[in-house]
Amino acid sequence: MSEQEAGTDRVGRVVGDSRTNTQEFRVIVDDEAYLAVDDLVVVYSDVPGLESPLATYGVVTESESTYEGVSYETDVRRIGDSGVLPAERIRTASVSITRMIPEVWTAPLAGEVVNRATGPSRDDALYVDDMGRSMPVGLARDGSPVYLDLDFFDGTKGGHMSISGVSGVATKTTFAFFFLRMLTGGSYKRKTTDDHDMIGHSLQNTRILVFNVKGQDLLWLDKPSLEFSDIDREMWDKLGVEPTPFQLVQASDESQASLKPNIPSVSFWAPPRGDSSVDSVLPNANRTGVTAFYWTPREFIDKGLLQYVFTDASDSRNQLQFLLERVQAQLRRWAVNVAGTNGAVVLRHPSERESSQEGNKAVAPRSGEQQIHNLEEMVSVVRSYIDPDDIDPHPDWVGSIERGTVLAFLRRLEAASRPNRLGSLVRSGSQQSINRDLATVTVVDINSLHELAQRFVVGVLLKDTFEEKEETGKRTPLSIIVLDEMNKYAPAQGESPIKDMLIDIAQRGRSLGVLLIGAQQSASRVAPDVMENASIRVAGRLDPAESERNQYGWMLPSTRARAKLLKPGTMVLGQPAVPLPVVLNFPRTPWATRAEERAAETDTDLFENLDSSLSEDI
Amino acid sequence: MVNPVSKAIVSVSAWDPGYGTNLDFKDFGDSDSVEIDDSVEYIARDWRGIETALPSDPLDIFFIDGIQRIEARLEIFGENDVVPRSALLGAVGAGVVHWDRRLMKSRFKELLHRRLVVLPVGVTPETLGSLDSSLLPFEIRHSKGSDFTDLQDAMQKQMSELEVSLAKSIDYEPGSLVIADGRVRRDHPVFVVGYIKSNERQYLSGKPAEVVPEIKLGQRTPIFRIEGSFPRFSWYIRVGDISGGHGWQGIARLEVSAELSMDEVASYAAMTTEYLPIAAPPLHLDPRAPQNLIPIGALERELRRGLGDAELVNRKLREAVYMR
Repeated sequence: MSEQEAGTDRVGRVVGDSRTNTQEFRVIVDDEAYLAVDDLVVVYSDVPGLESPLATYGVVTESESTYEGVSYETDVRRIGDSGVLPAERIRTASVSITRMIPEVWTAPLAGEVVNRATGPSRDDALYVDDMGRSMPVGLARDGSPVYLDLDFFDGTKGGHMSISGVSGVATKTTFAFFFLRMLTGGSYKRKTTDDHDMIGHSLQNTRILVFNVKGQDLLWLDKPSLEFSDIDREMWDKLGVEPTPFQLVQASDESQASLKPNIPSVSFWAPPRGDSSVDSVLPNANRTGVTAFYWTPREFIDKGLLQYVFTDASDSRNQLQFLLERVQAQLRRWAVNVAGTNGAVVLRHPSERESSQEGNKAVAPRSGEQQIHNLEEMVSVVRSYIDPDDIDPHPDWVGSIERGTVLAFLRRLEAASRPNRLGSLVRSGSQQSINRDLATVTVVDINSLHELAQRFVVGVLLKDTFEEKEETGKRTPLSIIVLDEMNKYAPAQGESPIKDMLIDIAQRGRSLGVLLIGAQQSASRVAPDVMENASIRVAGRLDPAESERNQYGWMLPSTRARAKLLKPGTMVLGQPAVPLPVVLNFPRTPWATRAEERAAETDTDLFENLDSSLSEDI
Repeated sequence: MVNPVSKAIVSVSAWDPGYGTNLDFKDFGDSDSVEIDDSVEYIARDWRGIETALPSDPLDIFFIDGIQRIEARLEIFGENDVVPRSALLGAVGAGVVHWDRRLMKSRFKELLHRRLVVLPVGVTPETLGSLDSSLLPFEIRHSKGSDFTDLQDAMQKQMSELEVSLAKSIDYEPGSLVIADGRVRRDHPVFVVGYIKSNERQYLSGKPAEVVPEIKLGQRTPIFRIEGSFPRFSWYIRVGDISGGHGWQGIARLEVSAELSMDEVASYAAMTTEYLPIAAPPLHLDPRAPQNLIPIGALERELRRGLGDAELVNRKLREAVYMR
């Protein structure tokens, strides 16, 4: 024992006036030492029969101070003012036990020396030695890295991440992107083998799909940040990743030759302006390099996107669903491409097709046939089959469905197809669906869209991503989906196709390599099936009432109390590999997270050119 | 090797009312016939409460106190004994509180403890040979007689010795004040001021005796001299004002060796009049308020705590006696 006692990391002794047990103990802190909440400590106790002392690791959950020898509260005046009462001011700390090595669950001995856990013993306290592949995800208060076991994110042993916290202060999305930058910027190998790690290498091929739901926060991933300081750079250095913004790739870049290696790329997508037939995007984004996306009527029909128009919880009535499926099936049977306009279709009964024009071969529209170039036209044609003005509805389309249901269906469909809703997202023209293979990160900006359209886009892209992986059956390269406001897409109450899909991804995505990073203000309002499947849990500042809910049972009571007070840039991390929540800090990102943070790069470029041209003239 | 004494049987007396009692025998000693000179400062008819003026603030004030506790009575029955003889297991402690007036802070400077076995006269330490002192370390002392009071006196003497040794260890500088709880003794260094909180013994008579209960907070009586084998100077001060109490409540007596000059005595008298009332506890905090000074009270508590749990000590003792 004397060996450990001689160490400079001694902070005090195990208090002996109350009982220690295998869950917690208290420390009387030495005069020249201190213990702060979240600090890690280790105690070595002799246990008969064990060859080496039992190492008990713990995390400080509370720091306390009192005067010893004080029996009345007013005694403090006699100590502090006149100083006539001798008393000893002491510091103590409560410690929650997190680990014992070896696993002999024996309480640490009263009076034993308590050491700060540093170096190897700190890694032991945080179970770093148990991790399959450790990746730094932040720094502890003492500046040393906090690790996450990637095996519990990428699907090897667990998958998905859930980030909770109050909007604005919790920096949920910023943390998600910091995490993704770490993930795609480094190589994290399995410690136990020398073999090249398949997943470790394929991390750089990871495809990340992100929805920009609020403001324009995610549209500056390629822009250097003004707020990025030397302190942040030092933190990144400790984390082992070169802090660079993501590099922009545009759909028009054919070669991608200008891309630097080892820096993840990003592409930006936004819906086209509703009133314009050209591919101009984003009414409110004062940035370039954003590509417009939409679906043609042909894609809409082939991919069965109609169901994503009916994503409201109240749309799940049986009859409506029945009609929806029927209409979807008929659209698929009847649609024929129109020659000359990409993606436009006419509806023609299969029996009326000319034999030479089977399949998807384009035809010239006949007289009386209405061409479908957008959603409004499609609705109009569908109406002529299911609720015509003068004649009976077409039996292939409606069957025996009541007229009331048909009208309800049409009413919803028409409302959805207005230009300010889904109208601008479905149109004929050159192929403009989102290409997720273009860049590492695909940012889809839906913040300017109506909620109905937001759900449509999210639903369609989730489906695409998931189906693609289902078809290949391969886990790698990983496909990661970042979704803010998870409570909107997978609410705890109600049913919707998107919620079903998210639950499906949460349950099966792990084995298919489809991983969710969900963020929400309150975990209690997200479907439990989605929350419970997230192996990695992260929380920023929590609403006081929210922090008491059982969704945060993975935190210690002291951590919950602190979660109400966390500052931006500080998060609590919970992961299966480490049975205690760890509070970590993460650095500012080298890219801007708001428009105001952007460094004025274009201006400097201009001046540089000016300088060189001037010097040439002279 | 056969040693007749080592065959003595030691046992713990089953029950004794003195167990765990904290004894305080401090204010006995002066006989009733002690002679008083009440005119060393003022003649008797001029006695009144005196306001004092401090030449300078004391920088350091020390308080010394000791405690003792009887843990158990042992019975020793030697081979040649007809009846068992009594010995005493007890503990004494003494300590110093240093009140630093510059920092306005007090702290325990020294805390000494001794666990003792007091043997009656004629009983050798070897008698205890079979007692396993590793379980309960103790030192052995001898008393002058074999009565129980002789044993107690020996304990008392041990405590006094500790207190005196602590007083001697104080790095005294002129202008400091050293207060010892209880009477000042011949072997104390001359700078020690004895603090007597009880007023059971009456020293003064006539006008001076009438003046004592009349003095106000911040006043002292004139100095008087107590003759006898160890002559001392003494004075009364008021440490606390008790409205509704009788006049002697809140009065404490102080004494110093008569070897000091009158100027020195007056200086100590001024310091005690000025500073001890600050150290007096509010009435509601201490049943012995206001005379039981806060530092002394705290010191006694701390010393008593340092003696350990009486039950546990007794358990260890039985273990040492019977489990050998």
